[in-house]
Amino acid sequence: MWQILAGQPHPRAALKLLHSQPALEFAPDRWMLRTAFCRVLTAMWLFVAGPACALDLPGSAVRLAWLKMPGVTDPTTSLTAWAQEIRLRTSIDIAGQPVGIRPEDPALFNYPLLYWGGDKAPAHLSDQAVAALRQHLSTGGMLFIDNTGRTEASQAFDQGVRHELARLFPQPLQRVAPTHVLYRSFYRLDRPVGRRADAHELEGIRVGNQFAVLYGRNDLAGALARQAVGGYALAVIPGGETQREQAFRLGVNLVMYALCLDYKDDHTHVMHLLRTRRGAKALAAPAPPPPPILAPPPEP
Amino acid sequence: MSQGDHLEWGLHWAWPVWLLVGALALTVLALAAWNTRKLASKPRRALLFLLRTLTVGSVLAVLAQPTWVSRSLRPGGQRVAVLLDRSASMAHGPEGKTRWDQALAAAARIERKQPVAWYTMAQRLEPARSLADVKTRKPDGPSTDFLAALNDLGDARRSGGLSAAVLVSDGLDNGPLQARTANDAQTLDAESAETLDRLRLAIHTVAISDAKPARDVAVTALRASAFGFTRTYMPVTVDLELSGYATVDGELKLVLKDNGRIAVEKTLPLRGPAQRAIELEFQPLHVGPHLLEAAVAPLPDEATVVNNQTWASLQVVRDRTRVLHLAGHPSWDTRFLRAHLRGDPAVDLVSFYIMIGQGAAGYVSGEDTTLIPFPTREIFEDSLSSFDLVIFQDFPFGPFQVERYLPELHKYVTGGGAFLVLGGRQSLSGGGYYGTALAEWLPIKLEPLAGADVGWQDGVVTPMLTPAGALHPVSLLAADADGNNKAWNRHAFSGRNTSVRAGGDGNVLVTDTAGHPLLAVADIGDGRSAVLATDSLWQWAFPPNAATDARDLSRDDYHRLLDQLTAWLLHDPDLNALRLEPPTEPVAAGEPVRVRVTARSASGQPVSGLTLRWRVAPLEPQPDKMEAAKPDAVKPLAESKAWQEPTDERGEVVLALPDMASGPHQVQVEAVVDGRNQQASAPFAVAPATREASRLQPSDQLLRLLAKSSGGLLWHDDAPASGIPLPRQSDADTADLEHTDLWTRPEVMIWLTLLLGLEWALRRRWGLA
Repeated sequence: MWQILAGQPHPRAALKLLHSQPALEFAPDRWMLRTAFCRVLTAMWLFVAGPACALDLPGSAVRLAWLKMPGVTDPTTSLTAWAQEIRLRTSIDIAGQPVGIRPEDPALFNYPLLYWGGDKAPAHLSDQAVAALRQHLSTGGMLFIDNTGRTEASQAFDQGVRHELARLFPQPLQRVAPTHVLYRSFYRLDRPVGRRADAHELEGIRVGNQFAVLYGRNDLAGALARQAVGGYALAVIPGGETQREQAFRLGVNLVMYALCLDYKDDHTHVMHLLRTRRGAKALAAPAPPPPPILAPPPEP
Repeated sequence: MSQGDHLEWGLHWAWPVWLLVGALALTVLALAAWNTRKLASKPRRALLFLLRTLTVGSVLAVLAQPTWVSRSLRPGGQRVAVLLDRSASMAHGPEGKTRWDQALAAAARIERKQPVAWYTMAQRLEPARSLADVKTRKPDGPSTDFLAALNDLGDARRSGGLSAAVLVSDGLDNGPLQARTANDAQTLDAESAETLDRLRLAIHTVAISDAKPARDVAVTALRASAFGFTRTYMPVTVDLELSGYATVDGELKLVLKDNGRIAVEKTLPLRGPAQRAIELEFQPLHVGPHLLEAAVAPLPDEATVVNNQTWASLQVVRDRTRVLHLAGHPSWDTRFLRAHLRGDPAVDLVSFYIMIGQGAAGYVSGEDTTLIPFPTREIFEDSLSSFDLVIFQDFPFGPFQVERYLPELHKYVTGGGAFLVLGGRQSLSGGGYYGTALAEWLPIKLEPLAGADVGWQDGVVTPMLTPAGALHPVSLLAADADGNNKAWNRHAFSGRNTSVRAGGDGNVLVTDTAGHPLLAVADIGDGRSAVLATDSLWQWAFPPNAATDARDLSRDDYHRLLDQLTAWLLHDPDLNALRLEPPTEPVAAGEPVRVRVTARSASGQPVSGLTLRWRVAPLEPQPDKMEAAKPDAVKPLAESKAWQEPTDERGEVVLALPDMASGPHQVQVEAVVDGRNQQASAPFAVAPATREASRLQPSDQLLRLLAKSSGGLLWHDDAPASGIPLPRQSDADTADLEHTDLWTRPEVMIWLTLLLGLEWALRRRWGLA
């Protein structure tokens, strides 16, 4: 919990975060004590910092946020692992702990990148939530929807999501072409995978020139989830650890796409890639070996 | 009636028509004879027949359109008109052997052989009474216009008989004839040839050259398009004419200046052809009027240096803005900036993001990624000058060997480039900028990091406008100061760069509540730089916790601030309320120089009754030193000699500049518009009062073409000893003919009426029908 507070630059945001984290892995009595203590500290900071700090502003670091709605499983362990991998592999300044946020919460706009996962029919979004999400996604935000069905994509979740998205945008979900910049935003990817690999493509809704909504049906969060004691929480099928690595790469590419948009489509990069790209890599390629001792020079 | 008077007939029918008309006339006469057969008196019949015959004959005569041509001899026929070029170029040459002296000697030789009508010429024809009169004149005409002089000769010829004309000149014309004639032309252009045709005289020419050729290098023309695009290479051609250096070893330095700044330098060998067209390329940097100057360095033994430079005006516009965007890492700030820049179709965006850090490199295999090496050399050596704007966004340039290219970046900025630093944890002092050359041309001063200081402070930052920022075009989010303050009060930042302070030539526009600079701008030589010491401007584009209207306002402010910042960095003339229109061609010294000034308010409305202060200053490049980089610091307008003019109801005023010496100048205008002090300047050139020095080497090209087109001859340096050949004497050459139409005179009508009336009366009296 202290990590959450330390990552929040503003006391008001930290305070909201305290309210929004009821189900972490702490015993209730200790949770209550910590909450009270943090509230006292926050109040003291607010008093010292003055009224200007009462504004609720996000920090400069990227923070993953998941939509907290009835029936949604807390994906914190998955998103934490996702954030850790991004920090390890890229130059993105990303906060380690994700945050859950209700769509109606005004603080939704502190988090341009949202995650919505589920394996059962989602709850009906309120009109206020629909308006807020529409505003969020229309002005630069991005939502990744993850169908976390166990053995296959959840039909109930799929139908529910499509229904709610129809309330958000008039345009339907469309297929994300394999040539889209999303598959080149950091790693070269041939297809999207997660804990499963049965859906061969992502779908999305464009707002302007970029996808504001992306929908994957391979349980990306399941591939990333870790156990509290270490190790991955769920087996990845059918590709095993190689597939898990590809899932991590998809996660990296998703965040890169959210932050860089079509950067890799820039002419200079396309020309370079045309010159240097080797043959398409097979999904079954083994996971990369342990990190090399000698790091390559910094690259953009 | 004198000898040679005669009758001419105007009607030229073919013979069948005449045969038909003759037959008709005979029929009429036969009918007349038949009609009078009843008369017993033969004299009466004869009289009526005679009258009818006269009538028919008169009608036939009118039909033939008779014209009476009377010939009158002109006084002084068989004279030769001698035109001596007394333009300033004729004064060249050693004492006693100047071109003018040679021309007078040639004229005297002509006079010994035949009668002469005397003229001198420069811009126009100047009659003279005698050769003695000619000798009293000086070769000091400001320019030479052969065609104007020959036109004048046409008028003179009509008043007195001339058989031929002789033009004695060095062949250096500054008028339309030279402009219309290519260097390798073999014939005159149609318009010039028509002028000679109207003259109907053979123009003989005597080409005067120098006894000892003068050494001179002349920049005869600077040819460039009237329009160019910013930072786009455009070709220009400089025409040089070298005389006396064909066999001399040595070098000639040619310089092309753009608004007083050296754009191109080229060294040429002296030895070579006399006429050369040198192709150059250069990049205009700023939008607006430009003055190009092509100049050659004076050589020690040159006859004159007046012709060593020439000027051309160029209007530069921006087609697209090329932006180089270097980001230290992907972030929400880079994401929204990229969306903003990519949303403008007039922007060519080239971005490079540092996507993995030093620590992350070990976890990523380059083969599996789309990463490319950071092209430091390609950016800073090869293509930097092609960009209008360079952005360092939270970019720690140290690890990427950029520091070695900072001199190139400095040259780019001082040479007119635009440089923007957007802050963050890896920027400014936190990014290792302190102590580098880059820190010297930022609009703020950096301080070293002490202890655990990382150069960054988290927390909410409330921006406050400084007095300078309240009405600065960059930070103006509303039309007036109050509205602007309210607009800025809507916003906050999250975190700011520390270890920065105001200082140097920078202009701090926005600070936090403690006075630490957040937004600052500066003029750096010909270029500009700006710093925004935070990485959370994106929150304006994605504002939380607000109603829809407030969110829209916030997003508008985001785009407006970035647009204005970019426009100011790029010297966008639309930001300036004052617009100047200087002359597009060099103005001859002594002629008035007029500059139109238009004043517009921020809303685009004309500002009438506005008092402008203005002055004229030499066009000199800004010194490449930080101390003198701020234009305002070069010479405040208020401290110099200045004039005041009010604008009219259209917001315009035409400034009439005082007499100025030859050379490049700039007019600087200052006024207070919308409460802001506005300055604008524009370059223009004043050419030497005489164009005679633009070329010095005599040329017989035009003289040869004039002679060839009019049927004359060309001699070099002197007239022929046998005299000027004259055409065979004829009426056309020596006399004037006067044509009088007889058939249109009223007497003819009266005559016909009398004949018909008399015949009708006699027929009635003698009982005929």
